[in-house]
Amino acid sequence: MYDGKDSPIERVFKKLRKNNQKAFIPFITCGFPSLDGFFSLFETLDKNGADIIEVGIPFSDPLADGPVIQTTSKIALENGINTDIVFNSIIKIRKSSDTPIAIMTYFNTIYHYGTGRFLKKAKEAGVNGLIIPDLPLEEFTSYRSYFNQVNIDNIMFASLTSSKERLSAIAGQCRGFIYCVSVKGVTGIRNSISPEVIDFLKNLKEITTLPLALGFGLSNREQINQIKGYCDGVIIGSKILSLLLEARSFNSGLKEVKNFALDINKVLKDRI
Amino acid sequence: MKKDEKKLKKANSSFRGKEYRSYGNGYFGTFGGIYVPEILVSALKELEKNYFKYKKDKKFKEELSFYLKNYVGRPTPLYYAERLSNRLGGARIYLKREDLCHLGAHKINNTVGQVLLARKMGKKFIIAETGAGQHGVATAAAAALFNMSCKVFMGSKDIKRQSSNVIKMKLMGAEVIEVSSGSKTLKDAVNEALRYWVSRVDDTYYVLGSVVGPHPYPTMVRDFQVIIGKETKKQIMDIEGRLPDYIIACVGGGSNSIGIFYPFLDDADSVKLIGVEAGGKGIKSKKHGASLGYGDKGIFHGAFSYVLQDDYGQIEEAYSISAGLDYPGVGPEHAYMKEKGIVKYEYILDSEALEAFNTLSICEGIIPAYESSHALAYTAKLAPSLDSDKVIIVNLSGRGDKDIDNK
Repeated sequence: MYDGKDSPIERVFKKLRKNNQKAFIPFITCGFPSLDGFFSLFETLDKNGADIIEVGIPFSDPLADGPVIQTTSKIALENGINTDIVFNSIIKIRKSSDTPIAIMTYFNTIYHYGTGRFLKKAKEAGVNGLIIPDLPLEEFTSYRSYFNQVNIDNIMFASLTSSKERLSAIAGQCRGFIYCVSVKGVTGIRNSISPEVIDFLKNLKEITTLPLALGFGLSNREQINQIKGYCDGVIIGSKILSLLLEARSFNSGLKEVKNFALDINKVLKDRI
Repeated sequence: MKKDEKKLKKANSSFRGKEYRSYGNGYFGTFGGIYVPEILVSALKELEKNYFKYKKDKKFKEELSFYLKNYVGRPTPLYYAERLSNRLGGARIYLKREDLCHLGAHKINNTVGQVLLARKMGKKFIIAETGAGQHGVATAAAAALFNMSCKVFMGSKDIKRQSSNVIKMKLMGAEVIEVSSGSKTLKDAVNEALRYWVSRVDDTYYVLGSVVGPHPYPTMVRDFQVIIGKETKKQIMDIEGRLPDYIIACVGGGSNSIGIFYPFLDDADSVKLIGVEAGGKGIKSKKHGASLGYGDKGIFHGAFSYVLQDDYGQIEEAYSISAGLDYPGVGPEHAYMKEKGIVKYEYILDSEALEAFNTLSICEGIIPAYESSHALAYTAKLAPSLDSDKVIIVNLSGRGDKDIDNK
């Protein structure tokens, strides 16, 4: 049951805020490039600065995702990954790491598994938050009680097109952090930040005290330097996964991920 | 919220009542909804607001009926297929000739309506998805008619299978965008159109081709197709002086069927409504498109309905000889009508549809689309068991020229 205390995800942000530092939240797809490869990738990120790790359960029709995550999802599904394997993988990870984990998946994966059953299993496995890109406020309302029963953070999205009233309503239902979408578009690598993003984050800060994590399209330290003063963390997925997709070998890709993580995390942890 | 729940309960309890009809919030019982990324919510709300505004607007209605009459060629005839009726023996069979619409299918009823709406809303660009190409062609035509720029997303597999429709779209000035993600067919074309829309929500209008997708599409597309049923009702009363005993239509996403069924829902005690899904190579072969008959409840393309999926909720590919029925999802209102038992859903195999395709061609000199051939094949099974005083209406949703190349 929801006990009103800070969740593990919220504790991460509280601690960082005290030091005026920002969270590094990488996204990876479970089962990409292989199940073992996923474990190595998780470990690499965990040991090199990740504060929270977002783990994707692959879905056949990822509407909100660009080409990179479409590709990693497809590869993971071809590797035979399913919801039970993801839960078992997290159980395994929990033996050696207590870094908060948020699961990202599309709602049909959860609904088909049984929403109550999914949340219970997720909780038992050690999942701390859920990110469901195709479950907006209107539909979430019918499922809210399941989240409260197991005390898993429901991480909701705020977009550049959401009205002020809507953002307040979202903030009212959301726990953990607000996933702020930095582009009008799907996930994927972009090289710059639109100036309206900063106003968007400023507006959100006035509406809510929840941590704000910015995601979609982030890939380099210049972008992060531009926005880190206005949010509490960043989510980076496509860039990390593309380092592996483009690498000559898995090991060289993993090395690049490590260097990238260290570099980005340094920017995020340098006090402003 | 409380008010909505009350409304929902009321709508659930009296499907045929007026509450249901005027119930425009996008839920059909528990089906429907807007299961989409947050960034699309505002665009859908804008569309909903404008649609309900223009739906009642006198000038919009006048313009729409002008184009339906003079451009689409409505009303389409309700034709007594005497030779077919005699050959099958039994019930009298009427065909609602949607194949005589401009471009040869019912799809144009919807695209003219939506593109007109897009123009009223001040949108500059039109996008659409297409499978077989019929909706793409109908959207390209409407965009040309209203002088708007148009992009059509089409799976690379379908581009190869339906090359003549690609040529038609390009002739009418549309840009055809090849989709090579996923299964490279209709479902991926919808995904890609939605992804594109996410990045251009401000100035772009997405013309969805069936009664699927998030609210308000299932309601709006149905409303644009209801003209089929309205005309049919008037025509059968003029000809026979009574309502039909059966109405039979094929179901892919479900727009032609809901279009003809809808005005008869109040008469569903006397008029039996039958939707025919694609049985493909047989249900056991798993190569079919019978989402209502053999799929599970789930969320697909923004709505809660029935969908073909595996044990973990991954969407499965559909299969049918007819590209228009080759879709793993189905409109949420159909899911509701199935659950309430208002419409009966059956399936027809590829081989049966092909036989009906040949039968109608030879009996009546009308070449039906493979999609419509499914409805005809079910009719061929049903008609002989009925007396000659019974009346069956089949929605002949499209003509079959497009299918000849692939035969």
